[in-house]
Amino acid sequence: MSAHGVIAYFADAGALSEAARAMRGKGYSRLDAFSPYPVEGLADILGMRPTRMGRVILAGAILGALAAYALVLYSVEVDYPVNVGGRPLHSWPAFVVIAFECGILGAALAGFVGMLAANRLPQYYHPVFGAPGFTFAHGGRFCLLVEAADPRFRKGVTKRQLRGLGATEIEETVL
Amino acid sequence: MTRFAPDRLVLPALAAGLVGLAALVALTFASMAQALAGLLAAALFLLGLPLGALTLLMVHRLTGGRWGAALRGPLRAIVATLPLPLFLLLPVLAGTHLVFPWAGVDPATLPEAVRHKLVWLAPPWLALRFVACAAVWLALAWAVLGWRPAGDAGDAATAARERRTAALGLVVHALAVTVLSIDWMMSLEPEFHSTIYAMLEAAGEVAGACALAMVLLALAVPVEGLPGGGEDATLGEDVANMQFGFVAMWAYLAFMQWLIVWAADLPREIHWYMLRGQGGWLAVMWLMVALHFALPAAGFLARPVKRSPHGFLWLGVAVLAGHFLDVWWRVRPPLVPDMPTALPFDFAAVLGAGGLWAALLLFVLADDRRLARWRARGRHV
Repeated sequence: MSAHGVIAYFADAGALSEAARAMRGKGYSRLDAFSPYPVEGLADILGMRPTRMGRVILAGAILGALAAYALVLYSVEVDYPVNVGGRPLHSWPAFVVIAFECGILGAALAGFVGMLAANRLPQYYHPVFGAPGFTFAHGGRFCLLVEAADPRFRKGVTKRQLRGLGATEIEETVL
Repeated sequence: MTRFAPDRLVLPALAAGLVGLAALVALTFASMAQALAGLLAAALFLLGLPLGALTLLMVHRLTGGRWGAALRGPLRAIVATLPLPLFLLLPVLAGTHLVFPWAGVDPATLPEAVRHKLVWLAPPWLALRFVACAAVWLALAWAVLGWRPAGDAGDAATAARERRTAALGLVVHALAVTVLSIDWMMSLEPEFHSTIYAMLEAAGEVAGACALAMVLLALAVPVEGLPGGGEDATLGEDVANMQFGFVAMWAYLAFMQWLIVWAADLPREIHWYMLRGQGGWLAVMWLMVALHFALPAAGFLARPVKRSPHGFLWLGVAVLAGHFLDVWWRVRPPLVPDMPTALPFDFAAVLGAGGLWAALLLFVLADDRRLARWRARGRHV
C-alpha cells in the first residue's frame, strides 16, 4: 500500500478550473482532473499536449496503402505474373484503388489502436477507484488528482493547499 | 488585407471584359472556329458556376446545415449571374458547324457509330434542347432566389413547398445538366461516350461554385470571425470540410472514368485520353490534378491551413483555378490538338467573358438590396 496521490473534490466546474490553475501556478505538473462532463479549457490549464492522433492515423494510412501496394506488386511481378490483354504487369491505375482502400483500413486501425494506447487502455483498475468519494453514486463530482510522483508533492502541504483552494473534501489514493 | 469593395471593382472588370471581347472579335479574322471554340470553353466554365450554386442551394434546402447558411449569400449572387453565360453560348449556337464535328458535314463521311447518333445530334434539336435547359435553369434560379434564409423559413406550408421545389428541382436539374454535358461537351468527340461524364461535370460544377463562394466569403468577412460552427470549430472550417467532400467526389468520378476507360482500352474511348495527353495538354492535366486534388487534399487535411483566413482563401482560389482547367481540358483539346495554338483565343475569351461575368457578379454582390429588389418584384405575398 504505497501512496499514489491526493484527490480533492470541488463544488463546481469553475472551482475545479481555478484550483487546477492555482496548482499549476505553484509548480505542480502531475495533475489530473475528473468531471461529469467536459469542462472547457481545463485540458489547457492542466498542460495537456494537443492530441497526436492525427499523425498516428496518417502513418497508419500510409503504411496500409504501401503494404497493400507492395503485396499486389509482389503477386503480379514475382509470385504469379499473368499477361492480361497485353497490359503491363505493373498496372498501377488498378492497384491505386486497392492501396487507397487499405490506406483507409490502416487509418481506422491506427486510430483504434492509437486511441487505446494513448488512453493507456485496457486498464482494469485505477487508484482513484479506491477513493470512497470517487463513485458515480455521488452523481459525478469535480475532482482534481495530484499524483505523489509530482516533484512538488508533500502530502501535508499539498492537502493544505488544496483545502485553501476551496476543496470540499480531500482523500488519499493508494496504489 | 484591405477591405474587399465589390463596388469599386465593377468598372475595372467591365473594362477588362470589353477589351477581351474586342480582342476576341479581332481574332475571329484569324480563325472564326478557334474564336468560337475559345468562347465555348469560357462560357461553359462560367455557366457551370451558377449551375453548381443552384445544386448546392437546393441540396441545402433539403439537408439543412450551418455550412449552407454561411455560403448562402455568395451562392445566391452566383446564381443571379446565370443569364449571362447562357447568353454567351448563343454565338456558338449560331456557328455550330464551325465547332461541332457532326454539324454541317455530309453524314456519309462520318463513322457509322456517329451516323446513328445524328438522330440526337442535329443543330435544330441542339438549339431546342438548349432553350429547354435554359428555361428550366432560369425557372429554378427564380424559385431558389425567392427562398428565405433557412432559419427564417416562415410558416410550415412555405417551408414544405420550398423543400418540394428543391427535391423536384434537383431531379430536373440533374437531367438538364446531363443534356448540357452530352450536347456541349461530349458531342465534341461524337464517337466517345462515358456514362459517368454528366456526374463528373455536375461534381466539378459544385466544387467550382463552392470554391468561388469560399473566395467571396473569405474576402468579405474574416473567416475566424464566422461564429457557430460545429463543436470546437469555426463555421469556416465546416465549409472547408464540405468543400473537401466536393473535391473528393470530383476526384473519385474523374479517376473512375479514367480507370474504366483505361481498363477497357477500346480505341474509341481511350482516344479521349490519348488526345489529352499530348501537345501541351498533358501539362494542363497535371496542373489540374495538382490544383483540383493534390493541393486541396493536403490543405483541407491540415487544420491550421483551413482555419487561417489566407489558407481558406487560397484553397478556394486553387480549386476554382483547378475547376477552370478541368473544363478547359475536357472541352478544348478536340477543337485544337495543339495547346499553345489555343492560348491567344482562349485568353481573349476568358478575359472577355470572364470580365463581363465578374462585373455582373460584383454588381450583385456590392449591395444586398440589388438582388432582393430584383427578386422581390415578382413575388406576390
